[in-house]
Amino acid sequence: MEENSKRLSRRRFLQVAATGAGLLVTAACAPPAPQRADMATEADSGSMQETVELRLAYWGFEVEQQGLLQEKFMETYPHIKLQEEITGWGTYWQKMLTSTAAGESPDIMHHSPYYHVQFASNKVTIPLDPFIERDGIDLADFYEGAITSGRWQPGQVRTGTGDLHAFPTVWHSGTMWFYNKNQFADKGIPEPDETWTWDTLIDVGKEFTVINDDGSAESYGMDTPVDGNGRMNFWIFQAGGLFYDEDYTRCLIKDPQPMEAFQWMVDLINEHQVALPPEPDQQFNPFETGRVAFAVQGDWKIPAFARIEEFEWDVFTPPSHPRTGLNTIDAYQNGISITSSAEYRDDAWEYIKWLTMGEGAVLYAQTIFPFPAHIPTAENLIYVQTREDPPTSLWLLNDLLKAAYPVFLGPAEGEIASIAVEEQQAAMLQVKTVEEATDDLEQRVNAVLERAREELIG
Amino acid sequence: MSTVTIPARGRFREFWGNNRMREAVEAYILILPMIVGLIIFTAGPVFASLYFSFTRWNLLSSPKWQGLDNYIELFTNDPLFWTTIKNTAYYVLGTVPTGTVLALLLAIALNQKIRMLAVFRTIYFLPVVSSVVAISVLWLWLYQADFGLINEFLRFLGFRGVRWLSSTTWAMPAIIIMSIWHGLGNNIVLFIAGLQGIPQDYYEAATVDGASSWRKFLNITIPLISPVTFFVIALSIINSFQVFAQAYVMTQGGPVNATKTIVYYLYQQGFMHFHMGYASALAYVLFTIIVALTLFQFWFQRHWVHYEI
Repeated sequence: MEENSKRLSRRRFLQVAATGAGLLVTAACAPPAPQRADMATEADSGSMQETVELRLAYWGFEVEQQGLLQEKFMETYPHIKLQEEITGWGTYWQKMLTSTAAGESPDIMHHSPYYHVQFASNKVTIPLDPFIERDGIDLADFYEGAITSGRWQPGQVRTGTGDLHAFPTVWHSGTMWFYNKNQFADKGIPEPDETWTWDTLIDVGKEFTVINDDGSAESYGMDTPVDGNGRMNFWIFQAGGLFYDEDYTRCLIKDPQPMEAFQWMVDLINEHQVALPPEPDQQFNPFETGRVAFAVQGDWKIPAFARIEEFEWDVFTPPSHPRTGLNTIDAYQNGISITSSAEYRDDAWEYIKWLTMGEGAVLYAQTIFPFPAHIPTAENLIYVQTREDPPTSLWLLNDLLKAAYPVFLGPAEGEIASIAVEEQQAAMLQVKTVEEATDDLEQRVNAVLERAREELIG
Repeated sequence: MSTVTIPARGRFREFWGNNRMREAVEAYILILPMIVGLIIFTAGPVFASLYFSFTRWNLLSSPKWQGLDNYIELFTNDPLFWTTIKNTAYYVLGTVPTGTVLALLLAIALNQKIRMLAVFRTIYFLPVVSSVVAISVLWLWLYQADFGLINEFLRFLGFRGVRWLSSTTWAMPAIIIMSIWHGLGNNIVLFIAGLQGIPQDYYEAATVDGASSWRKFLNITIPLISPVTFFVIALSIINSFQVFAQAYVMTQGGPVNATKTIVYYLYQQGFMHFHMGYASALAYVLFTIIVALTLFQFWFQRHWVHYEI
């Protein structure tokens, strides 16, 4: 009897289980608890004594270094506690959208120009101009394109004017030219310099291209002739054309200059056979694995290339178009924004200032991403002629970045990027002719622009 | 005429005193957490996405009702949708028949009394318990055009290598081959279970009657494992229609959409381009296709599946 009395009876068990389940459901459905009972208003947040917590979202890039960076900030600003929300690039935007839809967006978010218009037009991010004016920030200290890329005004389907929603952290390019010094030395070919033109790519590329009788390739002159984002914008700019019209109402790919650029890109692979056909497996970077002598890739590859031990490498001045003489590169900003749900906006702004033009900007450039949008930081740290570690010639790009053509200013750049890559590949792999691919590209991009315009302006 | 009123407390005692009723209530209480979870996390999103499929929604603004526009766009003005249907059908036809036949043959082999049987069974089952993402990365190396092992082997045999994942012709077969390899172990286990359920008496009687091995396989094994075969085929078709990870990791739907399947397209529309309404419509089209095919299979199985032993 005594043993039985110690057992949990079925009735008792059911009572406990039902109560537990009820409590769980109630707890799950309850609204989130307030962060703090004495949560400061915006006006109160100036008080330096009160500790505030900011949620900071960024995509997983050099996560360990980013963590150290945030720690450094919190040492400098002990009243601000940063709570990091880290997601990989592939899922970062899904998280930003779903958390915003759920009313749980972070206070500060790292931003990409792919999504500036969408977030600004839906009032997810706030204009930063009042903070800039209040603190007397000189925007001339930043690359001009980096500032304009972060601006948006209602009624526009593109960035460029209006309020500054994304303050630039980085101004960088997917069009950086790298070369393998050992391969050039072995062949006795002079290293690339500012005299290179598009024609030189063919002449020198042929020296390095070796295709076996069985169809396998030992090496190519250059990698697939698109930029680090898989796009061909830089060829178009160098040929003297544009991809969109000024108002982003239509795609200009069928204009003569873009058509010349498109044909050129395809010919490098199929006609001249000096460039690697497109590959899906990006893990085998053709430059890193020594399969190409020179490559046009994103500057974000520099940290990975810095680990190459098999050969020496550097960057060089982009080859210019033989007729226009242009060697324009494209560039875009990575930015940082305060969301409209942020309560402690002054503190969020303090973080942005520290990260983009203060001590944080130097640390960020030294340990995470070496292309500050803040010109004094960039020129004192990155684009100096005394760099000893490769790339030693990075300083060459400073002027090019000042004159770079800003890209990804449109309303649906992510979607248009995937369309462009598909149609480029279709031509490169000879699934479509250049005419067919550009016809389809024009029609598909125009459809996206039209829909985006309808959504944004009505 | 007088009526007898039973007090409420008395009615409860009468109800609770009934063992069957009490057990039923207790059972429902026990499964309550599961039911609540199902409603909140499964049924809710299912019905919500049905609603969203009739809207235009980018997650940042409120959904805008637009009736059947998404479905009309899908069927009349989106060539990529038909490409993904074709690609998915190609994948299903490539993986299900070959995978089923191979699994059956290997199950028969592994059902014999051979040495190191457990080792062989484990080897075939290992890919099933491995992450499909990890496996896809591994096969990326194998398929690499210039220095991958598969092309090296082909060249050793005197063939030209194939640009497996860069070719619109070969990319889908490459994914099919990998998927068959990955799913084989699961089906083998099911077939082995089916084979072991066949009474030996049938084979002994057939042997006495002078039946050949082929005749025994055709007239005993095939009919008697038909319920398992049906189960394997039905599940394989459902799973194959939902293929995603392989295309996502290995080819990102390329080259030139050659491996873009319905689910990959749904993911791209919903989570890369933020057309949630359109993605929801795609999901319901896929759902309808799978339900229709499954119902057809259940109807058709009456003609070829034998449940009595």
